[in-house]
Amino acid sequence: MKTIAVIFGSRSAEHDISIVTALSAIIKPLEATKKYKIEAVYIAKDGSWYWDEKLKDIKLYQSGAIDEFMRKAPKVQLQFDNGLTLVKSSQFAGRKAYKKIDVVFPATHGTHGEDGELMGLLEMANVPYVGCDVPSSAVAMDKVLSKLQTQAYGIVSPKMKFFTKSEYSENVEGWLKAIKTDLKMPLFVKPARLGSSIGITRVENEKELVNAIEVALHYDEKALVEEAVANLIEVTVPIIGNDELIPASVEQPLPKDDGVFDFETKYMNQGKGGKKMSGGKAGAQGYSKIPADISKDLYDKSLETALGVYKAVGCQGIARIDLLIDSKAKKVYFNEINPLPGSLYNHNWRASGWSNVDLVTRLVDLAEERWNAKQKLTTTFSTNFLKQF
Amino acid sequence: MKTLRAFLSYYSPKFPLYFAYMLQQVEYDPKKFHEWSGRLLRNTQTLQSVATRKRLVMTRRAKLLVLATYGFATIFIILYAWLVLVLDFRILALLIGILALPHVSRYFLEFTAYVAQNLIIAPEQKRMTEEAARIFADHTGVKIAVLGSYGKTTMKELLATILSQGKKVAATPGNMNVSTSHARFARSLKGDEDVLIVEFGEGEPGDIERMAQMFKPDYAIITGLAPNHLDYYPDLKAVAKDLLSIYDFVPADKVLVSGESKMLKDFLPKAAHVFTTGGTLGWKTSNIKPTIAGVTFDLNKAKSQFKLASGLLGRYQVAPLALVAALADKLGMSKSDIEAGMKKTAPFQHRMQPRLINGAWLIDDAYNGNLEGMQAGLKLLAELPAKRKWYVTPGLVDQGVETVRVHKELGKAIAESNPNIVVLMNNSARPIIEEAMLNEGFKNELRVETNPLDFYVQIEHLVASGDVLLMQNDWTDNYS
Repeated sequence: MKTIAVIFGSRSAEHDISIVTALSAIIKPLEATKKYKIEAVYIAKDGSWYWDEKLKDIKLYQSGAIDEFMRKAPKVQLQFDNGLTLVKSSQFAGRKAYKKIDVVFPATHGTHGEDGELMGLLEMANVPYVGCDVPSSAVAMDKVLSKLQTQAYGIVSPKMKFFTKSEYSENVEGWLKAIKTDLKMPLFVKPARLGSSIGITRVENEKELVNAIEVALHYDEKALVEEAVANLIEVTVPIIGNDELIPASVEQPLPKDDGVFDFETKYMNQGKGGKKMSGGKAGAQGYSKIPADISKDLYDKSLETALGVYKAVGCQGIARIDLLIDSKAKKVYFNEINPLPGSLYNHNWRASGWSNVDLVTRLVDLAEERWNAKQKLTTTFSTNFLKQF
Repeated sequence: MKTLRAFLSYYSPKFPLYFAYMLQQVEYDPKKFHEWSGRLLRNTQTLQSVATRKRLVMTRRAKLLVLATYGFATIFIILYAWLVLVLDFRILALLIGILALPHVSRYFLEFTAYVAQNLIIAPEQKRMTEEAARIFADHTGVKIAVLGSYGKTTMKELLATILSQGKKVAATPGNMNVSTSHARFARSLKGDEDVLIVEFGEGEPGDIERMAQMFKPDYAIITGLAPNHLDYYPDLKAVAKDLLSIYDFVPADKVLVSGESKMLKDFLPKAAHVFTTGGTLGWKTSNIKPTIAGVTFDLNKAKSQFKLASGLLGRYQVAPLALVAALADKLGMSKSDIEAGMKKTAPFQHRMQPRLINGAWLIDDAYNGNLEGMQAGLKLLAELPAKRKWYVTPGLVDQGVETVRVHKELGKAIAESNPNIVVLMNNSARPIIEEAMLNEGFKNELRVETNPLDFYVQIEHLVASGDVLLMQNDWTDNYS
């Protein structure tokens, strides 16, 4: 039986969402396959790593008992031995517990995980892992880079300006003037590398713009300001695959009355009327229409754009592509890409005929296929270079 | 290790609670309790494993039994301690005493249940049934008895739902179908009811006759015959004889018998009035359309036509539905009331009850415990459109000498229905079903689960939109 480590939590604003993704959307279905032994690896908000069966119980986090657990539990060490082995003190006579990992299933959202950092560590360990690799994760997590990258492949995204915190603070007036000159209100201001719609503000005037930039730069070192799409319909397309891509259904999230589909709408309010329409559960599973209520032409264009984005960014395993549609102009814009969608967007996959078990099993297979292909590459090169010294 | 764990489990301070739970699950029948506890020891199961599905309900009787067992254990310890003090081989004697305690307590509990059954419960039951017989004899309402190896509760609920549209109806609650529950039902009557419906449950030879003597029904409906309770009936013929003894109490033209029950056909009198999917009492069905949302059909007789729609699942439901509609007409109900009453019929809990889970349809038929019902469910599964079809069952219990034949038939029916995935539980029935399925050419996926409850909680992760999963029968703790 293969051992899969599910890594979740991490130093991220989406720490709590990651716990739900790991426990409900990954660990439970993986255990239901009865094909794998699952090890839960939790990265606390302070960056410490823990590995324990108890970490599979959501009540541990809900009740706050996780603090007491962390006070007593030994932290995990990682051993790189042409693979990955988890190591922890067993608390008995100085003995240590070891667990060789066959596949890693990252379940971290946002910074220090979904952005490629964790994938870098797993690449170093040479262990198969699920999802996007280092460069695609890093690009996908950066809204600016992903737009620049996809533009090179002819994919359209809203007109934007972007800057770092220091660039902005050195020339506030200049940036505001440039935005006013080059972009048309209303605008969206976003932190460049944060997920789950955190820190995003829609602005109608300059005063709101200044505040919104401050909010965005509070969360990230880099922010972007982009034009809002008129006659907006937001859609999102989950995709899996390495070379052969499989899209789920085009899904239409239902925004709040102010038109913003933010963290509150996504995770706290069960969406807006979407529960009845999609028949989904609370939270991230109940706020949308599946399939999207759009014409066949727009549906097909959305799928085409999403698949193009996935390939342009170089994603592998799984990702979700968010698109903006101008319903009058019938134009589809790329908005952003999530290399690890919350709860794997399994509600959409289920609606598309993939059970939770089917989905996680396929993702593990994809991880192993990619790793096997990589093992065939030559990564060393013999030279006489050292003999010269 | 397993044997050691099972052995040690009897020394939990909670052992009287587990014994009381077992006794409660077998309705305080000392014989069944004795059989179960013997099986538990032979199978080296832990005592704690008995209470997997339910928990002990602290009724007055349960409390008394638990207290009596703790009391007995305390007295046993005190007396034994005194005995040990006067013996030479004290350590050995002490060891024997400790080891014997839970098992001696078990026999004490069994003995207590036996004594209570014969000295307290039986005389009280006799008094209650005599009183109930007087109440039923004085009652002016139409009295309908519902009996059969399966489908009784469904039939009773259908009668109550449809007839209530135009009449004042009283029916025995839930699946209460023994004499004592009939007696409690009689006490609850106000006397102004138009129709009384009572479910007769056969558990041992003579049950139907005893119940008929008490209730004196005007009509009787026999829903079907299956080899159930063969631990108490010598064979299927004896079960049939018991059911058909109703003809001694009800005129033959008012005994309505299921013509869909293959096993019952061999035992029926020639002039029996049957109800089938084709119709009954001169009414004929047509235009039957089963879907996941229920079944619709027309019922025609001369110039009369009912257009009927029910929430019950499956073509096979048309036979009882048509009977109830025809009976309602016979009892003077209007067409509009019959059609409106029919619309109110919906699946009962755990009986072909559809539920939407993660976009998939799960048909919960966990209370289905007979072969014909399971075959009918499998036919519906074959008929329903689905991207992927699942079938889940642990098999059937209480089949006595018929066990092998029944499970072979079930395996054959599964293969004929040909679901994409079949999930069987790892129990005594599994090899028989599996062999029969494979012999019939089943080539799709077969999964075997060791823990049914684990599987049930994982279902939500296994299914997706477009799936239909039929789950039939669930073995209670005393059969697991």
